Amino acid sequence: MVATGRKMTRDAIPEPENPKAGRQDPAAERSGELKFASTSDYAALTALVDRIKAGDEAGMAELYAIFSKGIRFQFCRQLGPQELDDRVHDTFLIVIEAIRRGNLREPERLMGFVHTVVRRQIAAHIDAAVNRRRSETDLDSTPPVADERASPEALAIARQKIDLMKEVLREVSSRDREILTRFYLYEQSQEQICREMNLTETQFRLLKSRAKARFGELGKKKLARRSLARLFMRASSGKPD
Amino acid sequence: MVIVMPNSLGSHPSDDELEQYSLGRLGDEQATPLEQHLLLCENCRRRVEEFDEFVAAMRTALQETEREQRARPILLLKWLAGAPKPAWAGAVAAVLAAVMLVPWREQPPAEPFAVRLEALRAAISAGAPAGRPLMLEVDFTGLETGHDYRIEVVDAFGARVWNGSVRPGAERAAVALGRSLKRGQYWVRIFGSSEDLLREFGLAVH
Repeated sequence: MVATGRKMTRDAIPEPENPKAGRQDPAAERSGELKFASTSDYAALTALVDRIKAGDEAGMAELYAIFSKGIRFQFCRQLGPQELDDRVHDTFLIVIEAIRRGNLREPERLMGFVHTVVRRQIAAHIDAAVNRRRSETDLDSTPPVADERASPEALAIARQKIDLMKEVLREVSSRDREILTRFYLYEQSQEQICREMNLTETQFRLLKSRAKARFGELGKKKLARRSLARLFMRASSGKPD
Repeated sequence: MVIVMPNSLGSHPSDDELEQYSLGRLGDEQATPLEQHLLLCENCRRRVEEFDEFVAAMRTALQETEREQRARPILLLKWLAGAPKPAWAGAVAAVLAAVMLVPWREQPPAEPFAVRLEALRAAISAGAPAGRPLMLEVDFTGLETGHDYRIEVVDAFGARVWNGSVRPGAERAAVALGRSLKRGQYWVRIFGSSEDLLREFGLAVH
């Protein structure tokens, strides 16, 4: 259930959808914003919007259930795990308020609307952080900053993954390593690498997918070994599984 | 009401699109529909996370590998600098004695060392001594004879250390490097007329 008692930021509400734009034709849907979802899903979203507009609380809960993980994912990826719950909450307030006010004139575009709200929230957060850094020269007035470093456990896991990747890199030829270095480290485009190293697109893709598969394979082996070791340790200490 | 998003008709983004997104290389036009899809598709979110993880590990591993390879000579110098002074003095004295006491005479040029590079053993690096001019016996089995091929030798970083061409008359052709190589791992590559890589052999110089 979405609580609605928090203060909302009006400037984060996207402009109402253009009523003249109308529904996209099927061809436009395939090429445009509906590229990755079917029209039947949009029909379901339209029905959901109608229920929220009518004040159906179960509809709000459903909206939350559908979008919360995705919104959380976007915020976490862009801004990190800090204040995640508050950010997700604020986004829902904005979306629900907009639906209730009738600002979302094309309910089938709900997904695009939610996405726009999330993007604006992210942009607003970054702007605020930049301005804060610019204006707060006095150390005493700086608000407490969350420790954004990863936990020791997360660091250990990351280290293990890097070591696995180094193992993968040791197995490939220097030419393959050069291709991976150019793509992942020097951020050269696939076209440039293929042109300069006389590679076909297929060869390039194959190399990348092989490296990824090997990384996954080694990771699984390591995990299996670790759980086996744990099992032995438990057995030797006489603890039940 | 059950909303099943996205549909199961193959409308999920491709691996390429997700990887480009993970690398932050998608323009707004491409990223917007993808991010909208991610709002609802748990499976694709998981795939993006996998790519994020893979890319992060790959970048750091590549950086560290490059740094380690560059740092090797520096580590040797540091080890020498850290060695006790008597050891240094002993080493210097030994070098001086060798220069002054051993009658100096012109050494004949070293014979080229022949290295056989075989296609069937492509996975195993051929070995050669450092400091000797090399004669590569390159296996052209399966490749057309009577054509020019470009031969390139690169070091472990992919930097070219030798380049030349050869026209094999038989399945095996000798390529005189005319120079020695320092210790390390090298790769000998054969390129065709359209600069396509036809073969690569490992060469370990000890």
